[in-house]
Amino acid sequence: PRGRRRVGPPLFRANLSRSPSPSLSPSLSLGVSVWVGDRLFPGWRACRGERRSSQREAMNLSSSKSAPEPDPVPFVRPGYNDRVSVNQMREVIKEVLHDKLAGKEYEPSEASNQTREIVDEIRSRLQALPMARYKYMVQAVIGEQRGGGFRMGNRCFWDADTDNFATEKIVTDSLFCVAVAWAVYTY
Amino acid sequence: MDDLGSSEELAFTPEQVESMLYQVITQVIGQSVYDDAKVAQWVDEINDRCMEMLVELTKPFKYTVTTFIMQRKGAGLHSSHSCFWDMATDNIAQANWPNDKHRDQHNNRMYVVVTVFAAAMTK
Repeated sequence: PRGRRRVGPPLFRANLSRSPSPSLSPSLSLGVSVWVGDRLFPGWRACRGERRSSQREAMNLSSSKSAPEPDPVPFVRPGYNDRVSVNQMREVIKEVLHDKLAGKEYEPSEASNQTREIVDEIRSRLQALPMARYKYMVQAVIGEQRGGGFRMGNRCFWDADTDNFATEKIVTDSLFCVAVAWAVYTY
Repeated sequence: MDDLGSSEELAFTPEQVESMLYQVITQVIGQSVYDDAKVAQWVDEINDRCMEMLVELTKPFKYTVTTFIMQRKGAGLHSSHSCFWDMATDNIAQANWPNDKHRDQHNNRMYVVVTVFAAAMTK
């Protein structure tokens, strides 16, 4: 197949449509900046073919969630304006946390429901954002304030070019809540 | 097109990953007592080791590993997650430590929860 040269062990099946496409102007071979380095994924770089730029741009301009997916276009990337915005995500999380928890006391019976409502609300608001082909993951932790120590950290293995995360917290006298949202692009 | 591997090898299996997460936590924390000066280092180390182990699986997934450690002082803690993704391919693995299965490593000084979100790279 044109443009595909596999190096190293095969990793995954790529759904390539073999429709003949007109040869396009400058082939943008965009490297994927994989976090751990490309020695672990030698095939990943080698498999990246040319970007079918005009076809993808057309899709980006008219991207709407309800449009039926055409033939899978391989190795596409979001345009400059279609990347998820960290600030937007952070605003969403902050709003939801303040709506649900500002001024509240910690209630053991309620906390379970509160966490669930918070994550569901954040997730549905993120879904409503206009960026296409993004998967969202949200996690929230509510804890009681009793002077105990608490530490949270996260590591991500993804494409730093397209993926991002946002986190916000709220601390009241009796409780604290940390919410994190990750956005991951699907190629 | 060549056969690019069986589907079991390429799927994310939470059970397999969860047992590895417990091993990592036990290696890093073991019998230690909660120490405010060290907890940041523990969180980072758990995250790093879990990530190395996940990447070695060489599956076509993007991973997010979250760890939180809470000192055991009788306070309540609730965690929840919600995801917008493809349920056929994506999954989550979570390790709640210590739990009954790991009774010999029972550490009654802190709770450790490690969550791994795995999102498939392509449809």
